[in-house]
Amino acid sequence: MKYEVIFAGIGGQGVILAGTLLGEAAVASGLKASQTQAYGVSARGGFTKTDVVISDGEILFPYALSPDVVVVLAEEALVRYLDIENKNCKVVYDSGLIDASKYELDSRFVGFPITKTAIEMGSSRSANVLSLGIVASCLKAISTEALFRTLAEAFSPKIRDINAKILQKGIDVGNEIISSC
Amino acid sequence: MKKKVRFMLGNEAIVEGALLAGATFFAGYPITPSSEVAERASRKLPQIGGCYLQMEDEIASIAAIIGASIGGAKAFTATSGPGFSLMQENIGLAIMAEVPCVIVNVQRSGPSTGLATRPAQADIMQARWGRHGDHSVIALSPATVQECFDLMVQAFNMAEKYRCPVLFMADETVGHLRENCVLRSRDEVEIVNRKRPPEGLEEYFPYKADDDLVPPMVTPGSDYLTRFHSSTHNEKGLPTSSPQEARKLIKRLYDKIEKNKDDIIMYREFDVTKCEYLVICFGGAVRAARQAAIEAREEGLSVGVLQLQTVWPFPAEYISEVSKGKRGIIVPEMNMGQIIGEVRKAVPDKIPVLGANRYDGEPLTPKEIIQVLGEVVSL
Repeated sequence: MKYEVIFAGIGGQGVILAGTLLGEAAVASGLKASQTQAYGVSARGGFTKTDVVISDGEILFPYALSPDVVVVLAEEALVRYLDIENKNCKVVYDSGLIDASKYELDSRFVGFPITKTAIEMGSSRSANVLSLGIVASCLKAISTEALFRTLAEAFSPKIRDINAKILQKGIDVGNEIISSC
Repeated sequence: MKKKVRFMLGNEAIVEGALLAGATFFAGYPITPSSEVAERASRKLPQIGGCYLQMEDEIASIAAIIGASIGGAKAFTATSGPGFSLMQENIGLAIMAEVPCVIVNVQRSGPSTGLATRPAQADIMQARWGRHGDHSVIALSPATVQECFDLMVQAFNMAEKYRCPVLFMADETVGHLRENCVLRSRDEVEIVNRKRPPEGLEEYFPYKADDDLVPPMVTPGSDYLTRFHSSTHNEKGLPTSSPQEARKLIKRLYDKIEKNKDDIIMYREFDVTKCEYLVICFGGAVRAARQAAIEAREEGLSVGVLQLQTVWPFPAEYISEVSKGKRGIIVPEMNMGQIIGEVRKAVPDKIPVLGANRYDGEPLTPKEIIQVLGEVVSL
């Protein structure tokens, strides 16, 4: 069993944290995980991504060469994954932030207003948590209990409950994406 | 008891390894992609009664850890290319004055500020020859987060054992990698502390070495008078211009490392002896190389990987021996080809040695190594 995931966006959206939490939840589920990160020199803005590899065996190359799931939170990031080779890959993009009408996207690309939904649920900074839920439910390898525990440990009490709800929403969205395939 | 597996950043594991080794002092000037080393050191060291100092620059940082080590502490700093360049002169001082310390370089793309957030392995010859003068040096390079932890303990042990600076040559792909890591406990690893003079010694000479070529070390203010000198000095630590004493000192500083290669050199072998094609690499490139070897084997090629955990001193004799009978050698590096020169010197002339190189700030991929493997096979 081996899964490759990419969270991509621009600096400040929390994509690297989403990858960290996914990796932590995978390790807490008894699996092996690796996470790499790529970002520019500025603290905000600029293309940012994190690759997470999850496996039940040793992970040699820690970068995603043929991702199973990609979550994209900015157009600057989407354009890098338009030519993705893996025919079974799911690319979930934030349709509230990205006008995808100018691109010819095949059925692997699924839009969902990730950031808008997170804001409506009470947190403008939790698009990454919703993304995490989408990925986790697409993979089916991570223990839901471990996922929620990891999330609870990562955030302060005041945001914990809202984030748990947003994570659950992400899981539901992910399940819908899978069932519609 | 089952050990807790952590999902840890390479840079964080470096600090944990240092702490296990007994480090109590860090001085540094945070720089990407090494900043998390300073960050974690700043949190952890005060908790154990240690000292974290944020310095005004890298010259001050290396000077501070040399001072702390002379004062008796196990000390380290962390930097990247630009800071490593600034540290060179005082690394030379630590070699000459025989001061144990560990310098972490999480390598990034250069020259100069280069691509500040992107990986490279292009400081590996600088690690060998960055400072002036004849000398040998110890440099270790981790390929996994676990090795960031484990080899850091070894780095301190070697620094203490041989009274020298040890260069810990990580790179961005490992420093900024999170993966499974088990933090070992004190009773699981051997911890080496610097040698002190034997009890009851009447007269102590700070640079009079024992048979192992390493002089015992005392801190200033102890029972013995001691000196630490950057100029060529005699056994008493006094400057000398005597050719005989100069030769003796330079030779001893060199030999204490080169004659202990068997103890210092560490490597990992993956199908090295039985393979037809051998990949020799270190640090982050190892990950791509091992994946490439597996994929090549699926295509019917016999490929092994030799991972150099110790890059300096270079295991030339071992590589010379192990490469005999191979049909080709590949040396992947995230630079334009640095260690490949050392490999070529070691490998018998008739065996082709090809590099797989990447120097655009992107990590080497298995595909690129397989491509070069194809070139070697078709020779």
